[in-house]
Amino acid sequence: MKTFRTKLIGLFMLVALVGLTSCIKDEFEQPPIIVPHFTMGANDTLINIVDLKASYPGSLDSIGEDWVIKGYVVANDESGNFYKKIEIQDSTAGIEISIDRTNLYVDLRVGQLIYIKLKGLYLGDYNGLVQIGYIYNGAIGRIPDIMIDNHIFEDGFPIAPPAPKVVTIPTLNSIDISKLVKLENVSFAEVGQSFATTTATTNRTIKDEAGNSLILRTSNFANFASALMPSGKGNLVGILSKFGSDWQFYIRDLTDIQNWQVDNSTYLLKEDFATGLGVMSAVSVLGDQVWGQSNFGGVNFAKITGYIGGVNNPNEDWLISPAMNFNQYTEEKLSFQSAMKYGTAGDGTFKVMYSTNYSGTGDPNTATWTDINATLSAGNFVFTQSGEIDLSAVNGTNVYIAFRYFCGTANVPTWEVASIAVKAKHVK
Amino acid sequence: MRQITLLLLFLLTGAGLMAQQGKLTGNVYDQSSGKAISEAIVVVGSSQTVSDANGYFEITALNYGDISLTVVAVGFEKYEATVKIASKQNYVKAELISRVAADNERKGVSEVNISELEGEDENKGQSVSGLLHSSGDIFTSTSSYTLGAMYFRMRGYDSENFSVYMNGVNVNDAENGRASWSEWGGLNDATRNKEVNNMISSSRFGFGGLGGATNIITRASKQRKQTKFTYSLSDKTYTNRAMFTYSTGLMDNNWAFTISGSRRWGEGGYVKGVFYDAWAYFLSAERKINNHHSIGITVYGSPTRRGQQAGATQEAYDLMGDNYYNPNWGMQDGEVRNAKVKNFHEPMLIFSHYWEMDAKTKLTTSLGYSFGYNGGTALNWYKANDPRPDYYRYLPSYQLDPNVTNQVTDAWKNNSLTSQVDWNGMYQDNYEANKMGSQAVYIIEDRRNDQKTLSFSVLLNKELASNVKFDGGFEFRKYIGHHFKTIDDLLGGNYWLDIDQFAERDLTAIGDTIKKQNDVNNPNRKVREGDTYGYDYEIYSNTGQLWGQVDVTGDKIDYYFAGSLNATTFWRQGNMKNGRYLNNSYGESTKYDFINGGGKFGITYKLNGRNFIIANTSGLTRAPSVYNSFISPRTRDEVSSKLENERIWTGDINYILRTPYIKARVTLYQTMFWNQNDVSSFYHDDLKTFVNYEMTGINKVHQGLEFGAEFKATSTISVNAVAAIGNFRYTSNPTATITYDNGSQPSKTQTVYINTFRVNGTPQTAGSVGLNYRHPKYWFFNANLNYFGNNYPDFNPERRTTAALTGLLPGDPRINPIIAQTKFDDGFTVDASIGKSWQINKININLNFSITNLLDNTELATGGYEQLRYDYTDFNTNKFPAKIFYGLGRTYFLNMGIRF
Repeated sequence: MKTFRTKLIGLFMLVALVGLTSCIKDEFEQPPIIVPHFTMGANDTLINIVDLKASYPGSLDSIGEDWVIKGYVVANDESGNFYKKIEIQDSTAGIEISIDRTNLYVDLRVGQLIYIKLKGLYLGDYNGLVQIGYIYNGAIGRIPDIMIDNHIFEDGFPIAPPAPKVVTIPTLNSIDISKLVKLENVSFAEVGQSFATTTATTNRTIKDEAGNSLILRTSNFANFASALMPSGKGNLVGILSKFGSDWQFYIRDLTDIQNWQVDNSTYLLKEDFATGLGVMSAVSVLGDQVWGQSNFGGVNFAKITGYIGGVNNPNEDWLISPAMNFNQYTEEKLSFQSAMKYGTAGDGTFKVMYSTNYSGTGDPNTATWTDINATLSAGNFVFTQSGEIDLSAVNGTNVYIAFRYFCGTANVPTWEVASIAVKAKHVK
Repeated sequence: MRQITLLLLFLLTGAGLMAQQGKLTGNVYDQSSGKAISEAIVVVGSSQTVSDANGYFEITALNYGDISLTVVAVGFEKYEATVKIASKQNYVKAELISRVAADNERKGVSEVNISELEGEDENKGQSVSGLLHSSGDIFTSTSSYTLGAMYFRMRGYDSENFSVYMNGVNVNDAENGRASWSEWGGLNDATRNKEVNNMISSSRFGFGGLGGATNIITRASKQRKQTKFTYSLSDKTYTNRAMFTYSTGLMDNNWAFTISGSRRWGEGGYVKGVFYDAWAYFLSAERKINNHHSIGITVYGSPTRRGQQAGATQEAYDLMGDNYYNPNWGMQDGEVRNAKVKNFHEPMLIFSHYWEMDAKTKLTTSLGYSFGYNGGTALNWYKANDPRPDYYRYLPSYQLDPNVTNQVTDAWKNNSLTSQVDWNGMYQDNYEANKMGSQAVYIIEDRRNDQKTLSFSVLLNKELASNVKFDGGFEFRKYIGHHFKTIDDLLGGNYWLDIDQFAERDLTAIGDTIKKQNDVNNPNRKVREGDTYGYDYEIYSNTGQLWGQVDVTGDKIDYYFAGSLNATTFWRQGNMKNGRYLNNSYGESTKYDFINGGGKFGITYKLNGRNFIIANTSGLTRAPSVYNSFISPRTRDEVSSKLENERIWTGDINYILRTPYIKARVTLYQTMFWNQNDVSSFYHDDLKTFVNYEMTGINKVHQGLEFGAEFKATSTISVNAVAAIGNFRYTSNPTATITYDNGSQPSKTQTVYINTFRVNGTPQTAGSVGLNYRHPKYWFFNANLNYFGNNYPDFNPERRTTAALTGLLPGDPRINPIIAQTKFDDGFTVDASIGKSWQINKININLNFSITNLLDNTELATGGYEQLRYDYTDFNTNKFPAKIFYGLGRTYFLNMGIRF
């Protein structure tokens, strides 16, 4: 047993010796984080982006000078809407850089200050859009992956990017191309459609309050491509671009849709008189003349006049809506357009009213009608917007809106009504 | 007349019939120490006896003529000789070589090799440990040790065809059938004692596989009493190895102990980045209760951490000017850090009961329990660029502009951040992601397969008559393999989001948050180091086997026959509900049952004491492996469309010559496989998504010739020659089913035209010529010249389908490079070793130095695979060329040992 113990102790010491001298690294500690820093070379000249763009001769140009530009990254490929490119801007202008690498956003986050050594790179344009890249088949192409680290240098870590410049659609200026800009109080025309189809980059329309439009362009590879364009209006932040003579706008992702008031109203009544009187019903109380559908200059409307064949006929004719349940909704708003001739503004031949106790058929005079104040046509067949008439105070499960025409033998105007709409919001 | 009468009388007395007989006596010695060996089993012709305490034995009534002598003793190599019985008294001295000495002569080559081969998807090559095959047959031992260094496999068999037992407990993996002997790596001495049966043969402890059966005997009372220290230096994988073993043998107090431990470590191995950090421990204890009963316990484990090598394309090797370029590592803080590290520890406990019912009957009962962890790390990334430096887009061959190609080539040659992993860059990217509140962009994950296995076996060995033996038994195994992955290192990041990024990119419409989930019950989990994510499932497998063998020995003919009956059940238990497979990923899958059976038969015809003819044959069915049954167990429990038993038939015929000067064997064999399955998963370039690729109806033939001869030129010099000529081919055109892993499209079926393709994984033609010099003063010298040829990389089945050729008209020159099978170049290597042992009093010291690939042949490809990515657009096979592994150049192994 003694030799056994001796041997065991000897073994143990040997094992300990071996163990202590035979360490292999197991855990790796986080290396110190290096703050990137760029130092200008002795021959480098810092120039403004606006001056660089001004130097562009109009066709592919290789840059031989020791120029350096700097700028903040304002758009990258993180959402997929920008592929193998970034947009940078300094205080003077913005410019697009074409780079042959995916997942650029990992190193070039929005708000990252970068310096670009331009010597050896190329200036070119894609149908007028000036960009920095490299020669490919004789035209402007992307900077090859292997060259990136020799030309693009980060300085510091990303900070809050420059605030977008507020612009308006009618006053878009070339100085703002490839910069981060903001449009205020705009909406989308293609509400309910996706930002992009599944197969190709898609153009949609941004509209401002005056009705001016601007192309919104979205790649089918963007991660928000299948999101539906919201109704309502608000502010849009994004990159301004130009293709030939067409202005274009790119958002970076859905967070560029800001301060948006989504219009989540429903239409209780929407009548454009495309076929006959549509959902409206005509009730003739007096006279043979009735409300009928007509059109002029591409506009459909309902029309009434007591004048026929040179004879002025006394008439009382009602154009009544179907029943609407106002109790299920709030913020009901009525709007319509009216046009009139051969009468006098305010002559009372045309009234807009509502009732909560009309039976739905028969003589409306058996029910109680309340006048609605609306802006009406002043004459000359000029279609006039009534504006949005607030009917939120009206309650009832069967509410009818009616347009009443009343004339005698003198003062027989013609009245036309178009684009009747009652908008409301669902009660939650 | 009288002469005729005398002749008749002579004939009548039967003296002619009763050939003259004599007695053989002998002594059995340990060649290196000169000590007598007791309890050695001596077989002479068809008689058998045991040597006594002085090593003495005698056998009577032996006919005059040449007779074969075989001596087997624990801890020693089998001794075979031919003895001439020429008189009434004949004497022979049998000098046995200890296993230790024999293995020293053969270096630690193959065991070092095997270390880096285990179960990799990289298909580097599996080799069977040389240590598993030391049976004295020159072909087998040369194949295992010498040819095994370049990944030669006998008869082209996968390691699943070799049954390995640890003291009666089968240790082949339940899911892929392979014997993962790295579980006891570093325990060479403790596991040296083995019973080895090669190929189809009589086996006393199990039915065995096509390649045979090995039982490593850990029973403490059977270990040689010794104390042993070994220290080794090498430049292959580990650089240092220290081992000790202490065995008491059976002591007077009826206890026996063996303790062994080892440490293997090093960072300066041949391939950069392949570090080694391993310990091993072993304890075996036995208590002899009485002359009939003994009980024992064995405990061992080998906790190992090692860096892995990745195969690369020839373009990458040429750029680096190094056929051993390893893209897995990069520098971090001045240290080499490998992204792919294997880390495992799977200890085993075995309880054994040995019952000698009588001199002719033994019953051994074993209960084994194995558990632990087994993981491998890898890089993972989210919406970022592939961090592996040899991604095909980062290579010069991908560039179109020649100016750019030059710049990329320059960067590869001069900038290590281009050719190796950029760790600092990944930490910087994660730092910036943290500031944005985003998840880490790059991480290291650990893919785990933690198993628990309970095994039970009963073995009966019975002598029904002096020449008839019956062996049989029952084995049962219950296995649970837990597959999952964890975050190993966030590389400075704050968290990782548990979703599938390909599903997120391809499937998720705005608002659909389900499809991209890996775990719908815990959506959008932020996971951190140590957390499980991605996939989590268990494989359950229960198997039972009943087998029996009868072995008959005769004067002229020996024969055996055996049969086995197997039952297998396996199923999957999913622990995560996958967003793309809501109905078949979570919970228990269907249970799949298989019944199999097999039989084998062999006959030995002894022409005389020198010439033998042996024929063996076996037919069996085998359950499909779990690995090839579930198409994509990480996402769902879908199984192969054809889940059926494999069928196998094999046969061989051998001629053996044994004279005092020559021992030789010539073998012809043929093995046929029918109805096999193969499953793999990869990123499909044309479909731009992950696919599961399943082939069914695979048939193969492995046929060939084996030759081995050992010629004793003088008393000190022997020459040996070994040749293996194999023809391993596919004999069917399997059906392939491609399934989209994200379920976005229905699956597609196609035929894979690979009939007559060569099977990969081994040089099919190999040979070795060797010279052994053994000086009586106990020093030796070996040299071998080896040849390897007809080795093929694993092929891409997709390239051999009509889909791959869509758009090409017949006769287009681009077709042949796509569908033809490519071969690696043939090559030669030279090995040499020298060693000496000393005996000082009772202490044996040995020193042994060996060089593998002395002539530094660095152009011998040992394995590889065609990439599964394929260029459907331009049909350019050079876009995704094969990844190749080269056999190591010149390496050495220096071994110093003390034994007493």
